[in-house]
Amino acid sequence: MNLYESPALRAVTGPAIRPGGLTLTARAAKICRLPMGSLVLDLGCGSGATVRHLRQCHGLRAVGVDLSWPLLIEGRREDASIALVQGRAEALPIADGRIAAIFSECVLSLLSDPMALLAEWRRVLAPEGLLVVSDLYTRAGCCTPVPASAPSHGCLDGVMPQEALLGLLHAAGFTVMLWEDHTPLLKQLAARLVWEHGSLSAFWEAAGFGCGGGRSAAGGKPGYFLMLAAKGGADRG
Amino acid sequence: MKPENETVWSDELAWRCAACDRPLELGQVSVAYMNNSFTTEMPHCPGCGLVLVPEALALGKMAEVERILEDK
Repeated sequence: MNLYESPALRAVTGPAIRPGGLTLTARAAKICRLPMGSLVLDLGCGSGATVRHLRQCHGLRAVGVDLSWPLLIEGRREDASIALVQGRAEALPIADGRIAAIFSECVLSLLSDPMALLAEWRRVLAPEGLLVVSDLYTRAGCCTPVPASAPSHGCLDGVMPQEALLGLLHAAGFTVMLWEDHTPLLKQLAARLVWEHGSLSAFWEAAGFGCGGGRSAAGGKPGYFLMLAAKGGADRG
Repeated sequence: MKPENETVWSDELAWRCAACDRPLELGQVSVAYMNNSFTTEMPHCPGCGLVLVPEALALGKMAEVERILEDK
């Protein structure tokens, strides 16, 4: 079982399995100002909470891709009319240039080859297509290691500082239009997990990850960000 | 048989409220800190609402939540 399938996490986050739930999704969709009916992809869709939100609240033609078969099945049981497809983020089952916007929330930091991932996202995005990313990052000036209870795999593997992330986006041919820190949402989730499970250590145990032994996320505390980027040099203001 | 939660809180539920002279009861309590609120079952006075926070809770998960929210 991966962390996102864990009942210990999902009982606290609800169906949108990330800090803030749908808060940043809604904010990003509003900023993007995509025309009604635009084809958008939720990458790492899980059981489809974001896909349903983008369809129902923003009038977008949203589809979802996720690796987790159990979560996809759960989503299809809830609403068989939405397209939730099993696939890898680095090899999307989508033709070139078809997607108006990709929503990727808590996905980039999970994968080992972010450049390959960004190249694949660039492939499926339409010209001037948009990329919405919310994820963990290493906060500048924070040199305190993450808690010793953090697991040696899961959400913290690919966490990078802001500068490194922006460099990757630029190298992959994206223009970053917005970067916002939303670390309070991460703190709120961590606090709720502690409240529910008694401690972060107890949460990781309940999630089936055990204790990771004091690993640090690139030597800093994790933060949470929302970023909006465009394929190429587009400027939508 | 007592409900499981009352057994867990049996020591705290033996206390009486000094102001109201009423035995504490177990009930839903909302704890708020730095714009975050958490709801949990805790012993409180049914008269004035005063909540008894056991030391283990204050030094355990409450302290960990504080450290996280205060970025310590």
